[in-house]
Amino acid sequence: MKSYFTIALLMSASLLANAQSLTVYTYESFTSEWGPGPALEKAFEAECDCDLTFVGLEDGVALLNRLRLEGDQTQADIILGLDDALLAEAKSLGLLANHGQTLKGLSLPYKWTDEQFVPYDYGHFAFVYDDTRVDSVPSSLRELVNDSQVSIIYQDPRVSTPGQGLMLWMKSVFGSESSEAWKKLQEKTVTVTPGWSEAYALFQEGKSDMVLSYVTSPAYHLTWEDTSKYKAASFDEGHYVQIEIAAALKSSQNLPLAQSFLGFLISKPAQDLFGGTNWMWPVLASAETPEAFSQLIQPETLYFRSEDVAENRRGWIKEWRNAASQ
Amino acid sequence: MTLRINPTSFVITLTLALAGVGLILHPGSGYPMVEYFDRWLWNIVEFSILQAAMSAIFATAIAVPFAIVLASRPFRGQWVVKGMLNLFFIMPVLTIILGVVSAYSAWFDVFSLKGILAAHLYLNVPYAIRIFWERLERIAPRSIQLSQTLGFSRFQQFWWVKRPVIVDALRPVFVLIFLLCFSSFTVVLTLGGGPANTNLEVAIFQALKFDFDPRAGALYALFHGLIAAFFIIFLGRRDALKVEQGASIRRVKSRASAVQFVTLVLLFLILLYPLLALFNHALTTPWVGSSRLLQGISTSLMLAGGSAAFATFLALSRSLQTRQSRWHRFMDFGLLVLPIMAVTTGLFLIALKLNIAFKITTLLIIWLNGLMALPLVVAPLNSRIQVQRKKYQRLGEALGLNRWFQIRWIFAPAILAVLPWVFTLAFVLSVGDLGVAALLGSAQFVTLPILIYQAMGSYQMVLASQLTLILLVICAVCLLLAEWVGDRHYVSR
Repeated sequence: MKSYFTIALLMSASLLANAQSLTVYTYESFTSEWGPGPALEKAFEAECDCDLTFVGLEDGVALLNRLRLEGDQTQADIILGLDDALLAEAKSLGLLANHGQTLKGLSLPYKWTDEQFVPYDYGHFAFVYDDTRVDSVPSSLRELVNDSQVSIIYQDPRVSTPGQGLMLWMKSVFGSESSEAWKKLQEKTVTVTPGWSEAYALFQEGKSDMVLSYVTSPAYHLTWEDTSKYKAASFDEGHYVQIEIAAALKSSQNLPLAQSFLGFLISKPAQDLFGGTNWMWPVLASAETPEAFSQLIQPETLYFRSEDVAENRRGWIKEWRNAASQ
Repeated sequence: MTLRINPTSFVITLTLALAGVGLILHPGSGYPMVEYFDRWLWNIVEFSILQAAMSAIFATAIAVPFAIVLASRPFRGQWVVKGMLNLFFIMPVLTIILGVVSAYSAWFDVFSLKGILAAHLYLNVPYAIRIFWERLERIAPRSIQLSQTLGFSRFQQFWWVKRPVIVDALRPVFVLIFLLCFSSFTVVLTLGGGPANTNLEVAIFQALKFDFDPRAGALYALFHGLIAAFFIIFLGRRDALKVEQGASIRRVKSRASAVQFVTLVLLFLILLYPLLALFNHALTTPWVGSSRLLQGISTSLMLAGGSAAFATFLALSRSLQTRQSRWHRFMDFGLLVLPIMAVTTGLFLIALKLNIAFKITTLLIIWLNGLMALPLVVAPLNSRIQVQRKKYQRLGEALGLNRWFQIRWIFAPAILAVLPWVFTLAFVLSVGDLGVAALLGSAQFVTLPILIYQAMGSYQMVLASQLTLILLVICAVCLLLAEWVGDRHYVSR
């Protein structure tokens, strides 16, 4: 007992002793060994002579809630993994510092001018399916909701940015009829998971025909498993887009270091990693992507202004929650 | 009459008061009250009651036949069976959950109401068997002899002698299990948690963690408290409060009958199957490990040590108290079914308001886990002290011994023998806690149960079961140590 206590004390003391350390709150799959976290950590630590620590939370939306809860008492220096939809709401907390980067040479689905958030990758949401198991693939979100017989797994929009993406996608297609649409979708839903990782794992175990993921997901299977059986269903209405973003916190003890990490995120060495580890499109036009990216579908972009999301998110979540808890 | 405030009552009252204040004066703006009375609220209330009622009905229905067979005749080695049944009640909930996941995933979707019910049954059926068994054992030998003299058939004996005892115990057991499941957090969070499988406790947690909406959390906590109080007051009777069992040390020579033997094999198979599946799951794959394991384990041990010390102190002060009013007994029981998430939320909100929430995490966890362990550890201590009191009270009074002298010479020897066991019991109960630490801790705060939950959350079931195995080993080692150090006689009764 006593010795464990000493170890705990020593460990916390050693944390205090190292002034040059950065703590990054992010989502779970970012920090997993096959995610971008470990490679980024290695590359950044080599040039900064500092200690970078990733803390993985359930998923993107949980990050915002965590930030709200911890406020200026948070131990995080950087928050990484929110998306463009949550931008306005996150900024309204007044906890963020300016990034101080020029954001040159970036190529994004729409123009980026924010002074606090740095975009680091993007992708369109899509329902991914196994070609060898599913015969009739819906060709639109309307068909999926109204006519299709497929079973789906998606993520909780209160916790997960893909789940929230589906919510915004549903809203942009069904508008005021979303509540009815959710009820219909609920009949096809196997389960709603807290994060992307569980949803995708369950899908790969064969628990559902389709899973909410990204247009880019098939590239992973093409590259590592050499199989083209996983495909992203292309929907006529267009696909909701997600730009993943990061920002430094005002309360950080190492703000300049935090800002330099944000700069590092959009530098070529880091950007080259995102395609092949996070399986998203890098934001730097000149960044490399795995070969398989050339075989992906190129959907039309749907998105809301983040101010509109901030204003309506609670109401839209309630609408989903009431339909999904039936 | 001097007004002496007992430290235990003081701590409990203070906790409830602070939690109440926290829930009322929460930070954060919230939304207009009427917005919260929506479909969602009724759905979670409905689900909370439904799953608790189903758990309680199934648990009692399964427990009664087992108890009848086991109690039909005392048999050699029955203390082992009783010990195992007790063990299931104090075993970390996460062990049961991972066991159910490992054992039954192939049979049905465990992440659903079915999984929740299965875990609740594993937690409560052994306990229910234990209570029915005790009650049946307490039937006076005279009644049995009388029925034999009257030439009752086996069925008549059952119907006229045993049935009333079981019927009498049905309601308290049902109410207790209902309340325990109604306040269930860890099981519903890990195996449910989706919008269709959310109870009030989990909704409180989600309101804070997902929406940062303290007003919703406070409202759900209030609903939870009111419904629980309703069931305690209108369904619970006094005898529901007496769940602790009297020791019956009888020398038993006879072997288990054939029916008992078959029943025992069946019971052991059912109970041990998930644990074996968990071992199998954890040990057949190479060690996965986690870089934060050491940190998680040391934090957990430190917290459990603190909680156990606190619980032991509270239990001591509670059981040395001479007045045993109804209120005190009500509090012993009330703590057992306390909506712990509601209380935790209240304290957390106060701490947030004072801007110290993440500075006093450790203190808050020790405080709450200590209180949670109290009702279960107070029983063994209490029964010891009551025995001593009965034996020596007259003598003490006749000799005019003062209170401290009595404690030193009459109670201390008895207490010291049972103290290691009390401490360990509280330690084991605290080391497996997930809810309080998960709600209070910052993102970087890890305990062993939090690591298990995170591994489950990212669907790393192998890692989760390996970590659970570590938790189980810690508990087993502690219990064995306590048995070795302490009074073996008590444990093996």
